[in-house]
Amino acid sequence: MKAIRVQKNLKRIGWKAGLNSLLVFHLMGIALAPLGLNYIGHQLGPWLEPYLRSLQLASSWGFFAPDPGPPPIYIEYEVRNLSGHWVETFQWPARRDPYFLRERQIWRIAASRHLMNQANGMTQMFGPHICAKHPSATQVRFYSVSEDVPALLDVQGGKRYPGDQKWVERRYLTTLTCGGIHG
Amino acid sequence: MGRFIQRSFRQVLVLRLRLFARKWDQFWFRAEALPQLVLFRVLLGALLFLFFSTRLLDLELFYSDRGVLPLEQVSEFGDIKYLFALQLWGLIPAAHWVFGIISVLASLTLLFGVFPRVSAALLFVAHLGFSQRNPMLVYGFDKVVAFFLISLIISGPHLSLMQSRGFWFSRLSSLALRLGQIQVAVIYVFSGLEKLKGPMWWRGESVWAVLANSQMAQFDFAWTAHFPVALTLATYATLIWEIYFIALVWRRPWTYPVLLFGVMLHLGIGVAMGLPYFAAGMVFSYVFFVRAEHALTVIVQWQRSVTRIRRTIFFGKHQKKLQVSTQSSDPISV
Repeated sequence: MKAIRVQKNLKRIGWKAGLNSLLVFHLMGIALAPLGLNYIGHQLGPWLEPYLRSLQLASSWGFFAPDPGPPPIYIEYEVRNLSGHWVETFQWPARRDPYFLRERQIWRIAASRHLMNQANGMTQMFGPHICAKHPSATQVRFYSVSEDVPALLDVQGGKRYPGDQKWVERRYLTTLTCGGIHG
Repeated sequence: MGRFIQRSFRQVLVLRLRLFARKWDQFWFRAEALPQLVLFRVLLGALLFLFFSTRLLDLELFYSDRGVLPLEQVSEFGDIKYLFALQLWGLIPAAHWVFGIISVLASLTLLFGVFPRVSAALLFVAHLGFSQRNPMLVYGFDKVVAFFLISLIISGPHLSLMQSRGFWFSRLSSLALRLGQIQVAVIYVFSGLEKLKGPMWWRGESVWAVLANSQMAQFDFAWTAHFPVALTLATYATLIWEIYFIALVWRRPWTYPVLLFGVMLHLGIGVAMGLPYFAAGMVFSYVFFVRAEHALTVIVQWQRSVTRIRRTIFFGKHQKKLQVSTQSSDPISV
């Protein structure tokens, strides 16, 4: 009877030790992940990285930091039809949120920003999708259109208004030929 | 004399270590956690059901090869080493629909407490799958959900508060609650400290920068320019609150005021920027800090309301009679 109890206690102690070790490991991970570049983080990286990255626990936790999000920016694209004319201009995401659930617009805003920052964001990612969306397109030309956020005093003084597009920068990105994509 | 001091020092050290071990054990494994976790499970389950249902509407655009990010391009966004959930996308046909349907169904079963641990684990895998398949869409909500699901996988609070009060069950529940608390505190402190690097936060202009950003703000907030003092104070208050959250939230008289400020802050972000899921996710996580007796009161009140509504719907006129006959026999099950 006593032996069984001792065995049970040992098992419990073993489990507790294992659980505590895992806990310490996890705490180290969540504390060091945002400080990834420091010496300790660098040394423990080979141990912590597989755990943190595979479970998506490696976050730097910087909501609206160091400064709140970039100013408004959109992808603008022109479609060239079979007769060789640049016929239509589109904006992605749409300037006015067309969705009932705002989250859908937020996803598009986030995706457009990432796509513009990628070297092949237009040619390999967004471009083929646009070509498939416009079957009559032979070419698509991409631009990034950015606006500024008006200063508080300018809005207060009636000189500017949020979203007034008084300062807009249109930057050419690339042109994609759709022929190969349509097959 | 030297040996005496050495022995005394050793004794003090052993005592200190024992005290630390006891406190560690008490903090991590002996907290009363079940009511908070049950409440959190219901809230998170409902929220994830809405979130993943919304995602179903854009599965083709964001998660299929016909969308804006074909599978072979995912590696362009960084090293895909260790992203095991991403491997599943290559193995499962129409993986975006499989992940989508699993996530919606598992959030429903989590909400109703059916196999909660399995549901949380399935949701976690589906969530990882989505996040790794399209890293462009991963923002605050996706990041915090991973941690919250881990807490629910560890605890797996059951259908009823009366069930499973074994040795490991109570300890794992306590661990899950503490991990949730620590995680929320870690999120705020790092977020606050990161803001200190930003000139706009120092100048007190950040709230304005969000409200005047026509792409991010959901409504026209130009009128707020006439209240510059309020905007500046709101910026500094956010900064101070985030940095000091980790220190104040554990102290009894401060807990609820600190949480109340957080509710108002996230409500403001949710309305101004149209981020309801992120705002709700953070606010729901405050359940981790609510006292067990208060969480229990909420659950009991909720249960009574549900029973009353159910009786009204199913029994109508006979409601009064039934109330008399079944009074005080409500099982506490959520």
